[in-house]
Amino acid sequence: MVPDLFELGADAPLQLAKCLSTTSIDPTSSITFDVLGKNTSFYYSVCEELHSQDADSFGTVIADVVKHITDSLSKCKTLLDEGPTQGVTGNGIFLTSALRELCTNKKAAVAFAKMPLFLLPAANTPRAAETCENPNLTPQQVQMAQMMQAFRRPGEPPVLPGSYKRRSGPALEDNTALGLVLRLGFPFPQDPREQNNPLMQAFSNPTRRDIDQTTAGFRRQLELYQNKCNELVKQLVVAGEESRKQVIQWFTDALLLNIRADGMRADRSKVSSAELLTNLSAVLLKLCDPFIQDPKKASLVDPGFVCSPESHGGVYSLTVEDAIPRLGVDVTDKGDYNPKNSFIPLCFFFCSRILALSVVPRTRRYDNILRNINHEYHNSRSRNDDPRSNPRFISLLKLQHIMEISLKSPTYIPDVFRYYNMAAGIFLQMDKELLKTIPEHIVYDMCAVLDYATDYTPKLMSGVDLGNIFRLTVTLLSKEYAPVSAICSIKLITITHSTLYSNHVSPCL
Amino acid sequence: MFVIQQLVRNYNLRAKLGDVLHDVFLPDKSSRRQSEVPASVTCDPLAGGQPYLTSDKLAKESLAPSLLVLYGEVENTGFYEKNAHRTKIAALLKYLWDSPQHRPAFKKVTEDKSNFITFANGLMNEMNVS
Repeated sequence: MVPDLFELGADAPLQLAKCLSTTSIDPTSSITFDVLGKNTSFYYSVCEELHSQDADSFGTVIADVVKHITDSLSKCKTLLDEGPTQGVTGNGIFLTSALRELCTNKKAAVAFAKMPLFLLPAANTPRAAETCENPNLTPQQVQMAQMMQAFRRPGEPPVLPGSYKRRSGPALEDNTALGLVLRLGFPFPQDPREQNNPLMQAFSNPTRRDIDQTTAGFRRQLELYQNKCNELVKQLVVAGEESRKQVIQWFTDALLLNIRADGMRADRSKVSSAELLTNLSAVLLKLCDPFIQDPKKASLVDPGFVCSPESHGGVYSLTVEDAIPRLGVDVTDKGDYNPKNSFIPLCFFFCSRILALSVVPRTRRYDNILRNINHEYHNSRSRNDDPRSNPRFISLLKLQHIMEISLKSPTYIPDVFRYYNMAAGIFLQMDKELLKTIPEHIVYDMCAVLDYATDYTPKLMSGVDLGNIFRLTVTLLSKEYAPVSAICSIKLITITHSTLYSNHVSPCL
Repeated sequence: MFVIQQLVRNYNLRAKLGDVLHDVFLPDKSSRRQSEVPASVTCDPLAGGQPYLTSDKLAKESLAPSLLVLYGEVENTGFYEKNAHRTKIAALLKYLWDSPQHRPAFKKVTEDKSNFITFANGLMNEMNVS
C-alpha cells in the first residue's frame, strides 16, 4: 500500500478488518458476498488483485488485518465480553467470524497460516524456554512472589503468578492466532465468591426455569461460536497444503503441551484452559464428521498412525515419560506407515486424544462438583440450616450450571457418542495384532463418557446408535482378549473340590 | 485355553466394560434401578427391537462365560470397587440366566469342570468373607 498516494487508505488493513467483522450482521451486503456466483465477491477480487500485483505486500496486508482482529480478540476473555470499543469492535463471535471470512480467499488463508503469530516457537529452542510475564500483576502479587522465592532453590528464577513459558499451554492460547480464537467460552471465575462476575450473576436466580433458560441461551451462543471456529479451521485445512500443515502442527502442539490437562487440578501455568480444549474437541469432532457418517471413509482410518512417530509428531509416543499405554503389551514403533489417506487417521486419533483431555476430565470434575454439592447440602441440613443460606453451596450450584452449558449440550455430547461408536466399529474390523497397538485411553474414555451419560444425560443418548460399542465391549470381554494372568490363574489352580460340582451344582443346571 | 496375545490387560478397564454393559445395555425392567436410558439405545433396531444382550450372536455365545471370568477378575480392582462392579455383573448374569438364549452358554461353561469349580469356590469364599 502507498499511503502517500491514497491518504484514505492509510489505515486500509484496519478498514478491511472492520468490514470483515461486520459480515455476519448482514451477509448479503458484506464485502465477502458472492454477488454473481462463486468467487465474485469484492473481497475476493481485492485479494486476487493485490496478490497478482505483489505477493509479499499481500502477505503484509493480511498480517496487518489479522493483527487488528487478534488484538481485539485478546481483549475478550469470555463469550460474554462485548469486546473493545476501539479498533475492530465486536464480541468474540464477530471477531472469529471476521477471521473466518478472511480465510474465504485461499491465498489469504495461506498467508494467515504462514504468519509467525500462527505457531508457537519450536521445541528445544531458546525462545521456547523464555518466560512470559503476566502484565496484569498487582504489586501485592509481585511482593508475594518475591517472598515465595525464599522457598525456592538458589539460582532458580522467580516464578510470578500467571507467568508461563513461551512454549506452553497458556502461551498457545495467548500468543497464537488459533489459540486466541479457540480459547473463548464460559470459564469458571477465578474466585467463585466474586459477586460481580456476570456469569455467576446470570445463575443467581434460584428458579429452575430461569436457570434452564439462561443455560439454553449460553449454549446457543457457544454453539454459534463453535460453528464459526469449525468453519475457520475448515477453511484453513482446505486452503492448501501449506496452511493444512500449519494447522496440523498447531493441533500437534496443542496435544503435546496439554498432556497433563486431564488431572483433577491441572496446573494452569502449564496447560491451556478447559474452554480451549473443549472448543478444540468440538472442532476436531466436526472434522471427523464425514467419516462418522460414512463407514466407507471410516475404513480409511489406518491404525498404523499411532505407531508412526513421524505422523503423530510425538502425541502417541511410546518412549517418553508420558507414553500413552496401549491395549496390549510389547508395542513398538514401526516405520512402514503408508496410509491410503493420511488426513483421516490423523483427525481420528487426534480427536480421540483431545477428547481424553477435554470432555473426559470435565465429566469427572462435574461428578466431583455434584458430590461436593451433596456434601454441603447434607452439612447444612444436619445443622438445621437452610442450604440456600450457605454461600459455598450456592457457589457450587453456580459452577454446576456453568459446566452444564457444554456438558449437557444436545449437539456436542451426542457427537461424542457417535464418534466413539464409529471408533468401536473401526476397532471391531481390526485383527488382534493391530488392536493391541490402539491406545488404551480410547476404550477407557468411551466407557467414562457412557458412564457419565447414563448418570446425567441419558436423554441425549436417544436416537444414537451404540451397536458397535456393544459389540466391541462383548468382544473385548471375551476370553480370547482376557489378560494372560487371569486365564492362567484359573487354569493353574489345583482342583480339589470336584465333588462340589457333581453333587450340588450340576443337578441345578 | 492358554492365550498368547495379551489384550486388554488392564483389569480396571475390563471392569469398566462390564459396567458399561450394565449401565447402558441392560434393559430397564431387568434391574431394580430406574434407568432413564432410552430403549432405542438398549435394543437393536436390526433385530426387531430386541435387546442387544439377547439378540447379538457373539453375546449369546461368549458373554455369559466372559462375565463369569470378569466376576473373578474384578477382585484386582480394589476392595470397595470390586463390590460395585460385582453388583452390576451379578445383575447382568441374572438377566442372562433368565433369558433362554443364554442358557446353552451357561451349560457350556459347566462342561469345563475345572474352571467352573474354581469359579464356584471363589463365590463360596467371597460369601464366607462377607
